[in-house]
Amino acid sequence: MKIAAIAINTFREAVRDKILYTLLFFAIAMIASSILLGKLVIGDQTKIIKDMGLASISLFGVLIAIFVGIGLVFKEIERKTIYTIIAKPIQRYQFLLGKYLGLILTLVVEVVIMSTGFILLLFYYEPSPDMDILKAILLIFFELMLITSIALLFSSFSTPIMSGVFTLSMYVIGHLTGDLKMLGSKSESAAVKHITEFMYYLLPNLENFNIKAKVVHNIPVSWGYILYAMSYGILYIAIILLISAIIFQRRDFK
Amino acid sequence: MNIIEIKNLSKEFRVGFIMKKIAALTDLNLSVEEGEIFGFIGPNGAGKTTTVKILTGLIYPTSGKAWIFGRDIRDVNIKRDIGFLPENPYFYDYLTAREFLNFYARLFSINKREIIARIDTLLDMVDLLKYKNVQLRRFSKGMLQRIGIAQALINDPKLVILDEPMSGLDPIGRTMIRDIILRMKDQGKTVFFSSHILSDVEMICDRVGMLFNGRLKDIGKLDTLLSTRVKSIEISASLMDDIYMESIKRLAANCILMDEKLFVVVNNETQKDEVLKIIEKGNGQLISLIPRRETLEDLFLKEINYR
Amino acid sequence: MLNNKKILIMFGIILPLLYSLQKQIDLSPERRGRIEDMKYLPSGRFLKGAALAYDEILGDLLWIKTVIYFGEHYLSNKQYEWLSHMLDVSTDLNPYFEYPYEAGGVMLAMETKEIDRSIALFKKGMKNVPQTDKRYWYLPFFLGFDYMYFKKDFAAAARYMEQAARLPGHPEYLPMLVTRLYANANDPEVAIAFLKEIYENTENEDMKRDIDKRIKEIIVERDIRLLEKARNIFRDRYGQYPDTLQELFKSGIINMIPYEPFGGKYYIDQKDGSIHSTMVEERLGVYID
Ligand SMILES: Nc1ncnc2c1ncn2[C@@H]1O[C@H](COP(=O)(O)OP(=O)(O)OP(=O)(O)O)[C@@H](O)[C@H]1O
Ligand SMILES: [Mg+2]
Repeated sequence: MKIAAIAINTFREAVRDKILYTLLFFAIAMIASSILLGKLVIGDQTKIIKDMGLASISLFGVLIAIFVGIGLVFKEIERKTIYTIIAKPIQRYQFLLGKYLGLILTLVVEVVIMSTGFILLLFYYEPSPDMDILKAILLIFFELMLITSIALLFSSFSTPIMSGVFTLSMYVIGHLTGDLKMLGSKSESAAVKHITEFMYYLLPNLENFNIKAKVVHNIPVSWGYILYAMSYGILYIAIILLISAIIFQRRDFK
Repeated sequence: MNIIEIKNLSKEFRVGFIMKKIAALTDLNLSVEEGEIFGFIGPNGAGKTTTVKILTGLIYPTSGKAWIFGRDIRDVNIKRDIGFLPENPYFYDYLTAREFLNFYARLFSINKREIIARIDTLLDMVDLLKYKNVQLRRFSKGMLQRIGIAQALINDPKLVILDEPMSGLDPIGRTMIRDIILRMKDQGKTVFFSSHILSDVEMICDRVGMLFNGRLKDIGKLDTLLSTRVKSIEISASLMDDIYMESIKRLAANCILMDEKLFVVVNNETQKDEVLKIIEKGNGQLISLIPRRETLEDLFLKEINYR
Repeated sequence: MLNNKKILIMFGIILPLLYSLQKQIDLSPERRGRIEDMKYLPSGRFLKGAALAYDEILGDLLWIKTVIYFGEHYLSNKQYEWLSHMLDVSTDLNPYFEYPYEAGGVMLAMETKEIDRSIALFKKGMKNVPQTDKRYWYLPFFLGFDYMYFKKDFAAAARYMEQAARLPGHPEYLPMLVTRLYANANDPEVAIAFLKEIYENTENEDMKRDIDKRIKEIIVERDIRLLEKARNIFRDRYGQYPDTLQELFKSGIINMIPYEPFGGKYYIDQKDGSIHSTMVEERLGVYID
């Protein structure tokens, strides 16, 4: 499989890069530091550990998705490594998809390592912790996949710095669209109302994937909801990848 | 059927903030026949790389068309039978030589057993078998160029496109690559390679295309290209009476006496004929007549001056 | 491979699906009733250090959250457990930003009736916000309002009001209002003026509607008091209550019957001569409660 070959090569590149280990180290350190923080808070210690653990998985996942994602395609063009690949019997979209899946593979490994550390820590504090946190991690992972696709989209036509800025903004906005719509609906101007509503449905709504607070407070989250959120993620990713492929297909590599 | 067929190919780049147009290639028509080594030469910035990039699908032409194996270059399937070495190649330096070739082999869906055998053969051919498990970041420039060629041959292609395969190499490296190219021809492959180093082209090419400023200036067999342009003729003859020698001296561009012989250099055929007539009249003996043909170097310089 | 038609079809399928999924997600119970756990919102002073020079932005975001929090609870349960804490933290993060003090102080006073916290917030604002701020005068102005309206401390109210009247940007009527406040603190005009100012500066539409109602109620109270005064003059002059308010006008005691702000009418009760509005059942008693 050509796509798999590209994906594995991308994964290999990430694995042989130091930045991954640095980030992983900090993530584990942060999860571990929740023990300390937990001690400072009187009462609900596992809440702090869960908060910190989930936040670390999400934050460091986002950092990796953005840091690696923005260079994903750009580096291949910059270093001209793409030249030899495009000259092989492979469609450009296959190359793009391979790069994407390669980074996703990297993220899977990363998230699994972090989650294992986190859950072991939980077991140390509670004999039988609520395994609903796995649902939260699952949705965090879908958020990461969506962010990666956005990083890839920008990376397919602009420099890493610009892509980084764009992707980061999308990440922030993605978490605020709900609030924006709410603010907009309070506005008197119909135009503002419509614009915020339009943006709400157009921009990625990353809050869909955020069930951290629910899970930490043991509020049930149905599988139906998880399914909706995952489908939303997959469809959104499909759209983003489609746009990336269109842009990528048309550009010159010079 | 020609292996490569290029019709009215043009490429403009837009550069800078105001998107100024730069014509990198203008109305190129070219065909490369099966089994030949085609040299594509031109000075820096002539448009060689631009042509190669269009052929390999890295950039799209502004206008014009091209076919490889009789099929439109937009058809990715033709790439199954093409090998390509880009100019100043950069490779994934975190891979070892074997991993590197393995990666490219997988892009062709070649089966596993065959991959292993082919990788070894290729590494042997480019003399890198010893470095099989060394990461490419430890490779010298010459080694990189060679592993690049191995990469281009991983699919046993019918057509090999090499962009400046010898640039930056020492004489031993160049000879090695030249030998590899000749070996490809022996195997029945068609080779299209670009260069601005003329001696490389002169030695191995069947035909050359000369590109200046984005336009094709000349194309053809090397000897015909050069023989039509006899630069000077060197005539040597035995000594004669002074009158005859004086009249020859007046005609010739250069005339010297050496080792009891007369050496005359004339610039064209009419002068040659006249000199020969004089020698006959003076009962001199013609020892040799060597047309000094233009070298590629001369051709090149003339074109540049002409611009 | 990807031709334009295929691309269009894919967009055409995926985009509506995404839209309806989002609608579905918004309706699911998991999205409704967001948890507002601000227990772990650390103190502003701690955050200022931790926010790595992004404290203003953090403050802005928190301020936006606060406004939304207030808006949501205003419409639902009217419980504002975390409001004052959120206000405190966001003003800690953004000490020079006038608006959170002003709007927050009004929210605390008018809605949650946490008068002391409202007063403290206004005072914190007066200390932190630069006096050159165009809206600075609102802080002593509303502070004075808190003292007058809720604390009945008219002296303090008049003092802050006077301070507001000396600041640039204050409305023209303010000095007159101060004079009135000194003369008669129970003057409904004072309350109306304040409330109108609050009305103008409130952005929450629902709260605006409530304040508007309040203003109209005070106007009704003021008008009724006026009409009662006229009725008493009429009684003193003719020895009996007038049958209709029209008579007060005809006898020249008042030169017009006031316009009822809710769109109803004022009338005099034949039984006991008391005056009412057709729209407002209960009188406020005092303008300031
Ligand atoms: N990406 C680009 N943007 C703008 N102009 C370009 C670009 N690539 C090439 N050109 C221009 O097109 C012309 C042809 O360039 P090309 O690289 O094809 O030359 P070349 O024959 O390969 O030269 P060299 O021997 O130096 O490799 C040059 O004038 C160059 O400046
Ligand atoms: Mg070149």
